[in-house]
Amino acid sequence: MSKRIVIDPITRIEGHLRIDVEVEQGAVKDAWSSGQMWRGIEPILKGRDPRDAWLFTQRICGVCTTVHAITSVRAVENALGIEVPLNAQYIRNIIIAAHCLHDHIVHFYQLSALDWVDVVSALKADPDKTAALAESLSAWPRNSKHEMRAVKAKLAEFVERGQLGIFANGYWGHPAMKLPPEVNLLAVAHYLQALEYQRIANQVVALLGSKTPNIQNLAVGGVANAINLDNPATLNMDKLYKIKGLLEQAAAFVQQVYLVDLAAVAAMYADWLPYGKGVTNYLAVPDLPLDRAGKVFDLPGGTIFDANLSAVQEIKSFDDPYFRDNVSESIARAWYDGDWERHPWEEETVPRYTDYDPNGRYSWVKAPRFQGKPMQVGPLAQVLVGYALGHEPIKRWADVVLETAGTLAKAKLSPAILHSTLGRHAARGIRAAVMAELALKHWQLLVENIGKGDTEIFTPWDYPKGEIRGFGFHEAPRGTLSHWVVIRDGAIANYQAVVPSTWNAGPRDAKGQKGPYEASLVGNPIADPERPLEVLRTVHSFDPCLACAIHTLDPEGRELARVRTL
Amino acid sequence: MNEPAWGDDPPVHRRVAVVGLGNVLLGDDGLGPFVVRHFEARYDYPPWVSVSDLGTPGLDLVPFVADATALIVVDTILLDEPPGTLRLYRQEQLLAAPRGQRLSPHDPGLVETLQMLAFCGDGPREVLLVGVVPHLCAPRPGLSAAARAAAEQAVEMVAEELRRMGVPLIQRLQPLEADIFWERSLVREGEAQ
Repeated sequence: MSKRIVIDPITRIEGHLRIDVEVEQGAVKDAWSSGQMWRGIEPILKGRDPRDAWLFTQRICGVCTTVHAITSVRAVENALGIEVPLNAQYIRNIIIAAHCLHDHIVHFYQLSALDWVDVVSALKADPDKTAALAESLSAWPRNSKHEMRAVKAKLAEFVERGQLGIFANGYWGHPAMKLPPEVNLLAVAHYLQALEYQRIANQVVALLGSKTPNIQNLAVGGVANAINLDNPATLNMDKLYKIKGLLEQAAAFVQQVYLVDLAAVAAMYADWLPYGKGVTNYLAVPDLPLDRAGKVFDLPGGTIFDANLSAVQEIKSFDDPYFRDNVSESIARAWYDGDWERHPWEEETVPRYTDYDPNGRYSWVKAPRFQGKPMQVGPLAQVLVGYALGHEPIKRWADVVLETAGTLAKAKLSPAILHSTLGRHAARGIRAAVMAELALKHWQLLVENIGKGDTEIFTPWDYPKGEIRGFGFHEAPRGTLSHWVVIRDGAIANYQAVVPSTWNAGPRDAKGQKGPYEASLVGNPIADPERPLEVLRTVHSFDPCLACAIHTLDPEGRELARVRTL
Repeated sequence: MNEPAWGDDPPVHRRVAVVGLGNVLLGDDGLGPFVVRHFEARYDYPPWVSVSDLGTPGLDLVPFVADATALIVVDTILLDEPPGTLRLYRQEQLLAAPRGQRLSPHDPGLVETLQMLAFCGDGPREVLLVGVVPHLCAPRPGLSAAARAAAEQAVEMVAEELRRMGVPLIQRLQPLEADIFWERSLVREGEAQ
């Protein structure tokens, strides 16, 4: 007999993702992903000045501020048909890369490692053996016996005082937790270090963006970072070298710690490699432009269908019709008025809530499609597209992870294992390693360009009369983000944001095709329906972000979300 | 708690962070940003005090809180009281609240940030939450009348608590104009930048 598990946010604080799974004979038979809150941000932008759009869109989500700001200025620039100066591209690129490092580090250590790491088990670890193991895997200087002993002592003290608050939501002693105590202790040590390095990456965003999380330095046409190497108030050599130092520290952590931990987790959970594949159509967009027009990029984009890497099709420019003409959104199973599937420029956002009906409409999230097909987006999509196109840094870092994990698991691991829950984590680490390298490359490009005497940061422009349309995209930490704008006589007539978590968390469409979350859950084992750790593992591997549109604090501590079995 | 959070620390080690949380696009949820921007416009304060509108940062709160000796958070709160009710919470009350299961990785927020920093041995020694019960948090920028009235009181509550901590504040003779961009009228006047 099948059993229904519902993981449902029951208050309106933060949690807005509801997952229903039908479990039969210890495995997920079917799944439904539902966004429980109407975002409805797009109508707010209608009638406004397109120059202000980025200020508003960076408030859509409190975690993805920078990415919406960048995508918005790109969309308006595309509509106006303007190019931006090289310095502006490089400065935006360094912000993009640093934000990505921050985000990927936080996601793995602070937000999802506890799905795999049993903190309580770390108390049984031998710190000296932990250090020996860590030193055999990486040259990282902070894996010493001294460091591991100190972390274990701190953890013991916390448990003793009943202050395990930060870890209070973990599933301790769950049968699906399999790491030995030493690896758990190592993970706790790196969890603490990760807090320092995500801050370091964030400082780069703050130095260039003047503020975080809501950066202030963008403008349609360029950036507002005046460059004068001799002026303490502008972007100068002192600030540039500070940025370089911070990027180098973050890069070392990603390459010597994050990537190694990922390989170890993947190797020790090799039994999980077959799970979580789901939708094997992938979409990534190119990013980190190297020219003014956005035709040459340092990160590749393209599409893959049915896991067929040899038929990868590249997306080549900020104006590529292959992307522009093939994106649509379906509302057949979502709470909106109508049942259309439309191109974003032609969409309207008219809410019409009916009850939760898994056979009918069940989500506020629309279902984006590319050539009518559901697509998985995120670091895995970009890594697979890059691998298929022979992108050198992606291939090199992917091979490092596969070889390290293979050595630990005593097996030969091919890129095919990446189509999985653990593969999404591995790909995020691979992408972080590539980004760390490229951040420093773009720092170098910026410094060399300024050295040539180029201090241009802004392209002046005027609004044309009548109607213009534009789109902008960005390969954000959670995947392909696109903004679509229609401008009429200088005011916004339509604005749509097709966000990564919409691609991944979207519901079924008119044809009944499942979205990526839904498809990836099917077949996952469920050891204990009361504690569905396996569902959380797979959903967290996408790095979902539907939850941050609203943020009312609950000082008296009500339940945040609950698990119900029916 | 009438002693300043930094005890006998020399001034160079003092750092106070005032942060406004909330989504400015969602009606009363934008209260926190509204209050801190008005506070900034009304008061002058020493450079070791930082005042930031942080939006809805989730765990991205960490960088803003980690180095602070004292923290004042302004946000909307969930409470069965009439809209506009203003409450002051202290650290012990915040940390005592039980937490539920995470579903989205972005669920963690203030409490998780503080607990995490406590585990690292960092984080503020004094934490205050200035909270207001919202009327409506729906996708339309701008505060309700109840929240706007409470926001006025909240600005003064922040000032009062800072003074209690020993922070020298100067009320500006001519307040600056608070930049509440989300309440700006639709199309801007003037030339392209």
